[in-house]
Amino acid sequence: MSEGSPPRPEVRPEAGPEATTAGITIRGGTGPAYADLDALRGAARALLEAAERLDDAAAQVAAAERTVRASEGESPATARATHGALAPVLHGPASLRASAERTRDLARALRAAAALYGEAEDRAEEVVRILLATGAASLGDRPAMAALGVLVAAHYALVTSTYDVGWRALRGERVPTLSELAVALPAEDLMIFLGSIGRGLAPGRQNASPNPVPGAAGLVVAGVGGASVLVPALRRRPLRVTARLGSTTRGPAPAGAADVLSAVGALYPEGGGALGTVGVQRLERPDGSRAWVVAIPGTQTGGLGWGANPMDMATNLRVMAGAADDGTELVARALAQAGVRRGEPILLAGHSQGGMVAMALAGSASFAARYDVAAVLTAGSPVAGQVVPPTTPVLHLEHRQDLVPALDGRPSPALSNRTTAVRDLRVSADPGDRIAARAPGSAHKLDTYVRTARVVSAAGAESVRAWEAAAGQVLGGTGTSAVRMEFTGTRAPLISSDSRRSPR
Amino acid sequence: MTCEPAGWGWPGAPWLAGAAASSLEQADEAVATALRALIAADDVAWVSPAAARYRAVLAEGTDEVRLARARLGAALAVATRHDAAVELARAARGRDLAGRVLGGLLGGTG
Repeated sequence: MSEGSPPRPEVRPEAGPEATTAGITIRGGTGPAYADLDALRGAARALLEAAERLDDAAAQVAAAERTVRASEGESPATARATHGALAPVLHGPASLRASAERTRDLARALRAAAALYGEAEDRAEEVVRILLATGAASLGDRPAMAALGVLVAAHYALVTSTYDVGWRALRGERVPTLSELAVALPAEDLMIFLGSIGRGLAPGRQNASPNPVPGAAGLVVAGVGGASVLVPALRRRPLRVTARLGSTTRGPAPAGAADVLSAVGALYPEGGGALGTVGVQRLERPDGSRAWVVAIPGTQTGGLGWGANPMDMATNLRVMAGAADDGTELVARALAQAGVRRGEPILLAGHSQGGMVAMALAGSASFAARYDVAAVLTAGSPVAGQVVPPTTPVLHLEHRQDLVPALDGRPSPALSNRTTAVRDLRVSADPGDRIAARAPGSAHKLDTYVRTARVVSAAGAESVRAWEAAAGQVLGGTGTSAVRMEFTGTRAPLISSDSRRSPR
Repeated sequence: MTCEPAGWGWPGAPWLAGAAASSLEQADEAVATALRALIAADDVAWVSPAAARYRAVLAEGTDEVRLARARLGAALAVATRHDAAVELARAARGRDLAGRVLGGLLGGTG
């Protein structure tokens, strides 16, 4: 480049060091689509070839200069002129070597971009999913065959694992722990298989579905509903939503996804929060406008609706099935109590079940009619089957070692408004991440996702930048402050049939 | 212009004749190939803000290489003149040497 030329346009994220993007795969969003990746890799190859040719040219020019130097005694005047003509091609920022290096930088940047999006989707995986769903659905139509099939598969899996472990032990290799085996499970395929069998168990012929888990969840919800006729504890009860006294504080506004997720973490009991509580932050900008950030934690109890805490398995099943649930009701009522006005932008963020609730709200027509969802952030949430308007930017954070996002049996869709960042914790530079990679439970923890949010942001993929720009419209900039409120949802206590009969 | 690579001259000719120009011609060919590769690298259907930045950097890089090729062309003309001047100087020196040898031989016999 000649000196004094205009500043070079910035090439991000693709120009970032490849180490920053190690272990991260981006799918969807505004970055390169799957079909573009081959073209990107081809362009990178072409650039590398160009750089090599420029190096060759530089070597030839150097040879020419040596030749001239060797003969300068015979014609000093023309030798001086030739040295002068060759100097800018040989040395300095406009030299062939410098051009080669810049071309190589650009090739590296493109390769990093392609690598970041590269493993996004495998057509073969889609075929396997269809085959699994079809086979399992027909098995579900024959429950006895299904049970036999599952037993035979389990038997062979056990025998094969035993031989494998024995072989490893004989060779003195380390035997994998149960957690490591769980991490290695093809969880999505397993969920498709089980979900398809579950759907197939429903009365009548059930056709195979590429998305069987919500259907199976719907069956469980219907079953629980049916059982609630006999077991009152399973009935859906009124939800009381109250502002948590003394929880309102003022502080700086969150600056990005990691800060927003940290706010979710503070709502868990181990983070100092109360059970069944969501956080609502009112962001007050210097220009007087307001925006809102909603923090929704994940599952806190394994109950099927009989407990007081709405963040339980019943909410998981209901959200998965697309049925009315207490999690979304808690958030909607918390927003109403917090005083959110129409048109004020909202960022919905959730961990695990909280992400499902956030997606359910963002995709709800009645919620959209009242509130303006400007961005959604989910961490470790199985949300592939949930639909949001195509104008709502969504960022899904997932860990390869976390089984929870796979519970819906599908990868999150690669749409222009939905970006999924999947991170392999095993290759992280942070020892805490590498330890978390060994157990699905640790890989699902929120503090691990907070670190991932930082790493994904630093990787700077185009799709993530686009989401951050949308989220930035909510979070505001310098001078924005936040008022934090908390709202707790409590299911009404069970009323025994005796107490209903004899009111006093 | 002398195109033989260094060392390929006729017997008795100075082996450096035309070498600089030849090297520069090869350099020019390599740069032309690089330019073709750069044009191929622009053939990407990817549409996004990042793609726009990529194309901007690529276009700037291609312009730089074109400029370098133009400079190389100018240098080639100068180097060709130098090669020719060296060849003339060596031919003159050869003729001078041959004259002296001939003079010495004739003087020695006469």
